[in-house]
Amino acid sequence: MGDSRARRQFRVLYRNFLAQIVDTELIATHGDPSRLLAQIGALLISISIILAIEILPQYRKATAAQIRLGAWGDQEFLIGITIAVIGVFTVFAWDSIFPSRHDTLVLASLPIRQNTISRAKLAATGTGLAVCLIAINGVIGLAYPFAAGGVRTFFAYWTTVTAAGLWIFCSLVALQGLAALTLTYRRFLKVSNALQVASFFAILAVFFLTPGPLDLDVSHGIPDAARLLPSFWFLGLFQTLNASAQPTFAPLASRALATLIAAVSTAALSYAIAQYQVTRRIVEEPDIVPADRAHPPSRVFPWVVRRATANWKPLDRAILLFIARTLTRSRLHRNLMAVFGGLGLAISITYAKALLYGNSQMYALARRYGFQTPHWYEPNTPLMAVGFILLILAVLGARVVFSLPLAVRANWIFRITDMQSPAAYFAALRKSVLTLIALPVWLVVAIFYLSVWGGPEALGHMLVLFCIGLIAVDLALSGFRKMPFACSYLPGASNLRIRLPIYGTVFLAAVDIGTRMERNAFESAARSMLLASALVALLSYARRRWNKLASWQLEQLQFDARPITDVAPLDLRGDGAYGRNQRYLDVLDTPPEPSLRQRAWRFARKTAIATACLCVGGFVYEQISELRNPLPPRQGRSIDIGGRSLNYSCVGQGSPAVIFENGSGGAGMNWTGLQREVAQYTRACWYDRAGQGWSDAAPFPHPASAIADDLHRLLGAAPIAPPYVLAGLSSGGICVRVYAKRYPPDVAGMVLIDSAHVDEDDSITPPGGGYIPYFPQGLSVLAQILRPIGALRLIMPAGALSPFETRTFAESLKEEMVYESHVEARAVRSLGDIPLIVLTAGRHRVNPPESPVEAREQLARENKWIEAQKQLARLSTHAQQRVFPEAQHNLLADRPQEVLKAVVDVVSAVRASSHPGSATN
Amino acid sequence: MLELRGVTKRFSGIPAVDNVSFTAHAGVVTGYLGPNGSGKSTTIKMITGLLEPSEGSILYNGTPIEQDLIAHKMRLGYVPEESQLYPHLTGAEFLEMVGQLRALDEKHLREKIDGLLHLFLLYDDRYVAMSSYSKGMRQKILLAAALLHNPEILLLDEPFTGLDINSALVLRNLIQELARRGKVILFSTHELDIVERICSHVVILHKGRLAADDSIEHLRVLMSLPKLEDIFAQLAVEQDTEKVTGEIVELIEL
Repeated sequence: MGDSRARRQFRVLYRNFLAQIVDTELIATHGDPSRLLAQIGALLISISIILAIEILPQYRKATAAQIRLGAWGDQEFLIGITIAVIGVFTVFAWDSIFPSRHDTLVLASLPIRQNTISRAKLAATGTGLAVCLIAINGVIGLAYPFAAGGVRTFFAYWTTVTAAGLWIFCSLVALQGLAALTLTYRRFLKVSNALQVASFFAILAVFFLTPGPLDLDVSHGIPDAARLLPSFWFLGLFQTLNASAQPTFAPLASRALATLIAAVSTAALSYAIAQYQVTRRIVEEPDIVPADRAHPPSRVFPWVVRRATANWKPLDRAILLFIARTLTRSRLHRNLMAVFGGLGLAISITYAKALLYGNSQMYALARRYGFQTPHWYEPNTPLMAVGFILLILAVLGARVVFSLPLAVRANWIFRITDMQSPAAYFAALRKSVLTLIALPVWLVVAIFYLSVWGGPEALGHMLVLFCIGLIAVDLALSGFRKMPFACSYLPGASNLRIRLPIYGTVFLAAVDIGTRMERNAFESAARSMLLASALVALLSYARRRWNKLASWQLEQLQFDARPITDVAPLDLRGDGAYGRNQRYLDVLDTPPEPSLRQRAWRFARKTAIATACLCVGGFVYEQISELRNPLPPRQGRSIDIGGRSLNYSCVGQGSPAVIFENGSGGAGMNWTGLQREVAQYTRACWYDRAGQGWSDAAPFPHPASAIADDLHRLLGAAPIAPPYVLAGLSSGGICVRVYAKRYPPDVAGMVLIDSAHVDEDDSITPPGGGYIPYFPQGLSVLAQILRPIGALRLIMPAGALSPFETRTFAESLKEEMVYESHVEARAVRSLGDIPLIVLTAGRHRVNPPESPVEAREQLARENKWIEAQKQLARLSTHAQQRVFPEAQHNLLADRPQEVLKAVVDVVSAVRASSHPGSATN
Repeated sequence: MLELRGVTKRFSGIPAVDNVSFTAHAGVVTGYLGPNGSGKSTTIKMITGLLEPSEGSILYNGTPIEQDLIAHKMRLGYVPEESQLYPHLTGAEFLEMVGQLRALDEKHLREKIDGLLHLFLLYDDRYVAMSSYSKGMRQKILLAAALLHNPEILLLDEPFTGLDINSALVLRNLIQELARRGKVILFSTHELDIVERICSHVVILHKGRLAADDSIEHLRVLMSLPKLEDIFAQLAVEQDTEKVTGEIVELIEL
């Protein structure tokens, strides 16, 4: 009888404790704990599936040796994510592990043994733990071991993740247990919450700070800092159990085992003692202890508030104090703010990871790939992004937290004292959010930016942050009609599961793009003004939107998530009092909402006016810029090639004549320096292609074959007698190859200067993927439209524009260099035996890589480029390739002497050969 | 004076309060009685403006309260039946918040709060969060909050709940004194002996309808019953209490 009663009690308590594990105020369960666990399990399983899809494909082609040496990164990541998930679960279940006041006071008077209560609590906690562990490893844990090894790997994997999960769980329980045993119950409650929040941040920080296989060089041993990371200890354990040949991580296995044993034993002991000690303390401690009477909650805070809000209205002050006190004293709301803080921390670390590691060993491998850590003391995109992330997440977190009620039935006091207009309450709320949420973040980041960076960039960034903060607050609160913490809440009504991923993706993209735009804006006064105008327009929009919704005459303060379904009577008495807050006559007098057509017309009108203003401003900006950046004095002379003219310049005497073909968007005069040098050996000529420099514009389309024909007509009209040595830079290399195919007797030699070329193994993609009709024409027309209103100049990097480039960019789009010209160039299969030198640059980086992944990809692209250029060297039987691994793409500027040498070598080879065109003029 | 005329409140078509009319005069303590579920709290919530009547009207000095609800709330002091308070605030903080929400002068507010806390013997616990307060302490805070702005109308719903004897005596005397100073006091309770001591007029509700609206003296004469308890039992109590008692005892002895 006693045993069966104990079993029944155990089952009832187990179910009750299982429901308490995760705070059900946040998640809708309709009172069903199994449904809650199923939801959590489903979320974790979906993560496991995504991991499997991401990780497994590369193992299909890898050999066993490659897996042994290179798979440690994936293994460490899977162990790390297990530790993070179990750690976060333990943090969320923090209050349900040890005896609570509620458990003690409710269960103490019932005939239940303490032993039964303890076992039920342990079983419930164990169930939650097991669900999380199995769910996060369910799919990947079945597939990965067999992809990376076999049966032994399977057992090693599951043993390791179970040990890692147990370690983090027991470590946190031990931490809480030691606090429970050493502190008074009240002090323990205060400290416990601080430990909970700190543990949450620590788990996220360690997970996101852990370097990956692209960052960390383990070929010479594990760096000391990495040895401190728990995921590496358990990686060592896995490697040992799996009998991996790689000895690097095996020594860490003993650390894993030692800490696991320590954590489990400390947790078990502290839990066992705490079960009785804490219960006794709860029962014996009075409601109010003398210490509570002696110390006011805070002396400083009320004094500061009174001074700072001396001119505020009483309502504003009341709302501010209520929000501040609730946020700081309510465990639920504090923890939810901590979740947003943790998110902000995680995203910030991801952005600024490289800055944190600096030049330490943790990023040694990344540096080998060419990644250079930005200097934290100079303005940089990652640190700028951190300010945005913290500010926006703080505001969003506050908005979410305000929706969660605290003692919702106590909101009667707000209803009873509802003596002001709803607009007054909304204004008070806005003021409080700006003061309590946005202002502290502004101050912290301001101190950081101004002290680390100083100068105009820091001030500029602070101004931008200030505007973004105001915009974020107005947009977050527009339509928010509730008294914070005082409106009932429907769990699940906000559809966070759907909104969060969508909003999160948009938010991250916006932060990334916005930060880059801001950095670009600081490079020129015009862009800064444009940015400022955009911010002012957004500010104005956000403020008007907030004002409109806050002061709408039928607006009411909301206290119930669901309105009371009570049909008010018709105003049959005709006395104008339809309802308390909805005067019937006022409803009649309210102007009707504008129709969709009217709203569309208004929007179109405003957009047209704004566009016109922007165009006028842009036109003025472009004219002023062109006046400040005039074209240089004309060089060369113009010659008619049949209906339009081209500009060219020739100096020197001799044969073969060297003809320089420029890259896309450039001007022929860029060759002037080299032309003078080459003129000492032979006749040297450059020209401006149609639409570039001082040449007339070209018809559309204007592929490489048309350019070659133009050149041929120019050379005939000038006249410049063949043979020629053609030197083509970048896309000019395509033109000279196509010329050689169309006019082979004229070409005696060729120099390809980092010529544009598509690898023969790759297909040539038409512009717009071939799916967008008239894409190149459209792009060219668009560029023609944007140029006179200064839009092109704004887009281009500041200082990278020659006076020609804004004028000729639109024209260069007509050349269709991306597609048709490449097709024509690919058709050039052989240049015979003419002397050919291919110059190849190894660096094609416009901007330094911003992450190790980007650095690695960039290096791979550059290596592929160098390999692909070898194909050009096969065009002639008398060819050589010269590679300059550290040189930039524009070899004419970066390696002018090498270009000169190559040209002179080809001229000499032409003269020395028996080619008919080698005779001198 | 506070007047209810034909006030009805329906929830999903079912009347919780059905055509109730009575008047609470200034200077008189009006007791408002009725069994559980008779509609007392619903009536009081309609008077406070928390609920809107389905029919009828509530007037103060002849003017419907919905014509200027804000002015009505400014003159109203309310002690709810359930002591729902924000547990994380201290007593002093809660009173300060109420005073600020009512736009009371800051200097006088501080003085009033300290004074009331002293008088209600809560001054030593002013820094303690109300989550630690006993039921009686919370009740005193509610009373202090209701009196802070010197209301003209005082609605008290079970104000003696949890109060110790000393505090109950103070409250009893306070109610009488406030009535003498011309306040309208509507006082709802189950404690009939207190009603007999301090109320001169009673309104009895039964199943949402008015069962009695008269002075206690007059009711005694009308119904020839000496005690209010007997009058109440006749008008509003349906159960045979002795029979119920017997059945309960039999049940628990099963």
